[in-house]
Amino acid sequence: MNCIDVHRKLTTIPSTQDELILAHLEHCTACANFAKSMNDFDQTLHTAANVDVPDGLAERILLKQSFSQQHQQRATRFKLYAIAASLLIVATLSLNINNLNSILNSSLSLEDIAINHVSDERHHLNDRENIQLAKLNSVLQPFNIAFKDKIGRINYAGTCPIRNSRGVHIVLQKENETATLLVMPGEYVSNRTSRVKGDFKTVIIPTQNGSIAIVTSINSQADFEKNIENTLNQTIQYI
Amino acid sequence: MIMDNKQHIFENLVHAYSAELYRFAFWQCKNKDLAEDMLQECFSRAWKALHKLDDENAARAWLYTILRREIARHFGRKSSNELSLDTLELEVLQLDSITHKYNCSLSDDLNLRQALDKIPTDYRDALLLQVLGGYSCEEIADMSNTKSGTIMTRVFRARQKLRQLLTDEKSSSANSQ
Repeated sequence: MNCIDVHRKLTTIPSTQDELILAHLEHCTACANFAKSMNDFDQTLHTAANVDVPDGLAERILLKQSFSQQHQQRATRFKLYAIAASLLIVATLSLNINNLNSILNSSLSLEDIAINHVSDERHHLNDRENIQLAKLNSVLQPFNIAFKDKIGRINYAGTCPIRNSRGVHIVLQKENETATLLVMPGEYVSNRTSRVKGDFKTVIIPTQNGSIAIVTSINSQADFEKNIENTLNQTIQYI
Repeated sequence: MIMDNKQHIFENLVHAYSAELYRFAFWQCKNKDLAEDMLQECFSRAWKALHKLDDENAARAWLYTILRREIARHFGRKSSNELSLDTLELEVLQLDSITHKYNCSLSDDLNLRQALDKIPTDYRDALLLQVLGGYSCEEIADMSNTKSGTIMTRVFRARQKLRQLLTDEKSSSANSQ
């Protein structure tokens, strides 16, 4: 190893323990002096580079970390509360959607409720099931009502939520016209009432355990509702 | 209990390494307030990533790496072109003749600090890691994601430049007298 290589190595790593270099330094005074000067230089460099550290540096770092952690924990708690609140709202709405509708419906008149119900389910007006009287009475039986005689061609019969309880939704065809009957147990009315709204009109007649809404198109014959009303009064039975 | 352990480890890291990391940051930032800001950012990131630190023996190098990245991010630094070590032989000979000619001492702290401030950032970075951090060229190369030969060139050039700057200072003082 020559002196140039040694000098280069010592300039790169002054404290080198390379055996070849150490062996060279033992018999080369110039390189040994150079090695000493480089080591002295590095000592000075180390001292010069060791600038004073500001007082309280470690404490300030830990303080900032403490505040940051506290802030993060608060943010996490807030997120959890927000998620919990959202879930609670969703669950409440899901479980009580019917109640919500009931709350909304309770502010409407019975006539509006009847017309809205038929309007919302107007697809049933196109049903063509042709349900027999016995089947119709089986649908009505839980509501303590039956029909003695046929009241017309029954194209649909089913139970529906009507305001705060359940009723029976019947679509009947008579004299080439279609009408919807809503049997509404618990919805008592003192007198016969009527309403026209949108495409429909309704007459609500009192029954022993509630009322029945007769909903027809505004274009139906003038006496159509009356005919149905008369038929119902003649055929209805309370069981 | 897990958080207590994490907090305990973090506090130990701060107490053990904040001083030397600050000194390194100071020389790279050339401003004590900025150096402290960089150190705060360094430990902030270290706290968030503490779960990734598996080996306590790697903690110091890990912190240096985070700090150097923060500083590089702050300054938007790009790496410099490097000369190979072999091309520097002539410069070694020239510098030795200069120092011999003027018989100058290289032990002036103030001049050394001023000279340290003037050398290129990459050279200073490698030199400080070697001198202040006590890392080998291979370790510095790992931390820098580069070759050990590159680091050896940087530290060689750093010392060479420092001695050149100090020699120039001494010779100008001698001439003025």
